[in-house]
Amino acid sequence: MEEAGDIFQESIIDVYKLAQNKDFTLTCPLEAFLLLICKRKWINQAEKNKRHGVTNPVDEGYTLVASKDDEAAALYADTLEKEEMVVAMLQKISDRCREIIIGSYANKSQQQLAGELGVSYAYLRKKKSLCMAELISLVRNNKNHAA
Amino acid sequence: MSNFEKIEAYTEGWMSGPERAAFELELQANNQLKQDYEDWLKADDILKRHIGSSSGITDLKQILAPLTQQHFQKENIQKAKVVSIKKYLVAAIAAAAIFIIYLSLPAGIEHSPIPDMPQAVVRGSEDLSNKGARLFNEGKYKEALPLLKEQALADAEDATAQFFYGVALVKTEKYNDALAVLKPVSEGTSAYKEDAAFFAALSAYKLNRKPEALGFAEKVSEGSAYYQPSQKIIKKCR
Repeated sequence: MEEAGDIFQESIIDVYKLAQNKDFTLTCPLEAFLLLICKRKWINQAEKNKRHGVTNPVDEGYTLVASKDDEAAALYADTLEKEEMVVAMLQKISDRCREIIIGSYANKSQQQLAGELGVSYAYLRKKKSLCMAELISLVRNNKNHAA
Repeated sequence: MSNFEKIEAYTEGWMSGPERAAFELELQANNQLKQDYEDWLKADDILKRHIGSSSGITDLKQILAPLTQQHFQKENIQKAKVVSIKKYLVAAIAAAAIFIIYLSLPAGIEHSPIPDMPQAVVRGSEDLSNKGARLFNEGKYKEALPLLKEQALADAEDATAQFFYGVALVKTEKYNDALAVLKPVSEGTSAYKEDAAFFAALSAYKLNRKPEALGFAEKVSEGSAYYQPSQKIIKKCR
């Protein structure tokens, strides 16, 4: 039960992150979208834990969701998964790059961040673009492998 | 200079006018640069929402934690029993409804509506003004920023240019710069006076300069579209 609560909470936070995008408009019922995200997270968790028996019809109990809505919800859930993949790729870049990218997006000025990292502002600017290039390259490779 | 260095300089507004023009020309002709630019913008948007909005996420977690505990508390798990998931679905939908209210109210003051920037308010280059306004109205604040900056710098008396540049700074979380731009507008006599006071209050609040935020928020009168969010800032600052 606690695990279900965690999954539900994580899913709501994911929807919140997606809704931060000004261009994002949800065209299916929220419950359809939310349930699909919860379902996918649950399956991923189950696979991680190598549990058996839950990968069968997990759709049972979700009959409130009409199939048309489910299709739309699946598209949003795919978008969310792609976004999560980009964030996950941060764990695969060098520690220094991860520090620079996270710092750059964490409401700090570039000057402040340069001071905290003990580097010059000019170095930080150059390094940030190299780190973003590293991240984007990993994302591209990951997409190619997934395709 | 690598493609990504150029892209960063362009999106951050570090390029001079001629450099920008050259970059935009190259963007049209060079497919690799175009692909790199599009991928950069996508990654930038995702990182902003997943890393940059951490304060909003903290607020949301605080709202959700007691609800999650209430609806998903540990029950007698010693006994193995079959539980219908539909029972929890009701709880889930109830919590989701609270979440919708959280988004629509808006719990984050930064979700306040953003006015559309009028186009062709030009002194100087019409292209510059229109492009900046178009990007702003599309919500592409980071890309609009250098154009709006150029426009604002060109005429310090142009309240429209100053106001929308200030709002774009707020939307890109450059709160110190936003305050410097919006403060004079809020003290002026233009139609943007009260709107600027609200966005200045929001910037000061984000910088944790509460007395200053309070001062700006109190300038927003009841007839303003930003009266409610300003009152919210006042409550938080008192």
